[in-house]
Amino acid sequence: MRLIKHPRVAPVLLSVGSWILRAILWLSIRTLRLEVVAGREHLQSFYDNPRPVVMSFWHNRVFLAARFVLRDLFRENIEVSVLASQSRDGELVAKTARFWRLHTIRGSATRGGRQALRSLYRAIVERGSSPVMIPDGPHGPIYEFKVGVAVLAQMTQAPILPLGLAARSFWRIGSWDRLIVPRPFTRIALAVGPMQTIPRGLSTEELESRRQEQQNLLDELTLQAEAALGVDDSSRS
Amino acid sequence: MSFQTKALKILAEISGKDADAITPDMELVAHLNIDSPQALQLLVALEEAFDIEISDEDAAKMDTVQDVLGYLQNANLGTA
Repeated sequence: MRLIKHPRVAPVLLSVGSWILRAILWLSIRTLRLEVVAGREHLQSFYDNPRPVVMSFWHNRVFLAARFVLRDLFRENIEVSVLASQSRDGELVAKTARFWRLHTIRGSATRGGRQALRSLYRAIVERGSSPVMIPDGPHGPIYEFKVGVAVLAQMTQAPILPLGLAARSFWRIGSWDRLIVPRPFTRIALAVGPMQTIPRGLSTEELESRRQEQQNLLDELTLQAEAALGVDDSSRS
Repeated sequence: MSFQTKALKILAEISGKDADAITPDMELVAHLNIDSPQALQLLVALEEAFDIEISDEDAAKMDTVQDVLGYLQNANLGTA
């Protein structure tokens, strides 16, 4: 562990890690076959009338979403913002995201969360960018939709675009979210939900109700994507 | 309505506390339980209510109710 933190070794490891991550993403983009299995009309509506949205998907689907963001959304010239934590892991994500010319915001839900949400707010309102918000990130609990995504959507009036994703063939990493790493050349299913705006002026109970709706919707879309590929995610409760 | 009353009303709405129970020495996080999403709500609500723009640096310094009121006072809203 000491070696990892050594001031001369750490940047080298960061660079190596970043290249590995880039290689995985490159493989994902070039080889994965993405199929929209539900909600094609919602996606088309977004493409036809591009405006900032808050994209949401579960944390363990990030490599699957990368295929969609870095290929399909780039093709549509949609600017995407990503949040990277202030930790060394976050530096790895930020370095990789910058390589792909994603708008990168530093901060996390746990450390400097106030500033991070504010930066995401500015990215939407001032840049017209569409942030990726991972509702069960950065540390879980897995598949729990936190209220921050709903509040960001509410404050900016940018609709939430929920994305359910699944891979036909993949490896599982033993992280808290049981990260899915798709095998090269496998199929990816994408189920897109309707874009929903969260109105201003809701009571705490009403906002909680909207959060729960988004939770259910994302669960349902993810199940739809899995069903389309005949995948059963046994980690779901 | 004075700027203090207006600001306390916003703080009360977001924290779910009674405006009369909110005192300047209260900390936003420890006493009013304002978390990150609520902090965003608060900043946006203050900007819209007072037609101001609060920089990230100034927002980061707001730890107590007094910090918020002091900021508004310094933003020349005290005479409103």
